[in-house]
Amino acid sequence: MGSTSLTAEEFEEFYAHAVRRLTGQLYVMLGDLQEAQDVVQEAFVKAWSRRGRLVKEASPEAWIRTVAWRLAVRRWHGRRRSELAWQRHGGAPPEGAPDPGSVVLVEALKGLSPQQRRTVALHYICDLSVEQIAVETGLSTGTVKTHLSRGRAALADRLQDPRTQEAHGD
Amino acid sequence: MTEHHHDDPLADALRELAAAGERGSAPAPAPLVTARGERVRRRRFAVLAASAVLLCGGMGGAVAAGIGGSEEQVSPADTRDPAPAPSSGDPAPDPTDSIAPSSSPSTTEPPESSGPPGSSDFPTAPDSSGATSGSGDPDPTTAPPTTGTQGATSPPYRGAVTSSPPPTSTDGPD
Repeated sequence: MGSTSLTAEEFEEFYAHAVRRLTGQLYVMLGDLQEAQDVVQEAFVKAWSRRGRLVKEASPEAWIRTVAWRLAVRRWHGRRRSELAWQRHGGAPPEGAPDPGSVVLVEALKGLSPQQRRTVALHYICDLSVEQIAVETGLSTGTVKTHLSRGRAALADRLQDPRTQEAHGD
Repeated sequence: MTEHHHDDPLADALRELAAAGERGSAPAPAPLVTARGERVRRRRFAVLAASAVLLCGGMGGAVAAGIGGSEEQVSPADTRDPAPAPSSGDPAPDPTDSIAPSSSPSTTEPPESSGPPGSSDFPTAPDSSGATSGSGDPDPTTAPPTTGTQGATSPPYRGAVTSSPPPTSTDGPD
């Protein structure tokens, strides 16, 4: 990486190295692969337009992950508004078929709150410590610990209980 | 400082899910992303430049308006002084009209004032002051106009010139 800004080659190398991994992480956080791809790509677009800032970051990958998460949150708010509008007009948009291989885990993850999903994904997939998660998310360490313990308990409950799996598999 | 979860089935399941997402993802080619990023960057610079131009233009306009407003505030303040005569009724031709009534009290000398009414006011102001003082009018309102016209010659003169240029030009040398 350059001292002031990334060159196109450096950025493309960084993109090729990190985009799939980030997409997988965001997929666990969001539960939607297409959504994860979109927000990660959008975050990389923002990263290119702010290359100077990206170089100053200690962890550019964490910066892109945070930007992608914020984009996803913004999209959630917009989608919630559109869903309410659809409900008011009597119909709902058709949803794509989920991946059958991971539907149980994805459904279990969708049962968590967004912050619990994010915390669990950062801890178990990105291998971040509680302190690192607190820095990246802006939450206190106590809140991170609470999200982790509650998220883990909820996932264990839903993944080990066959009745819960059947209910969510439907 | 990372934490590894080797024997955790939940961590394994989540990693498998993330790996499935990595495998199933089809990221856009890097040149496409950089091209989009470049467009975003240019658009942001354009917005910044436009807002800077608008800001500078607005500030310049405000400064110009402030300068113009201060000048306009000065000239009415001076024209109000000779305008105490409400008999004229027209506020626009204040200098000439207001002077004519002020000279009208000194109607004892009609021939001089009849010729150049507007222009004669300012040059004849010292004379009229003497006339008014001689007439015995202790009005303080009449005295300030004469002193005011002497002290602040330029603003009323400009007003007189704008109102009736030909007479002032002819009377000026007089």
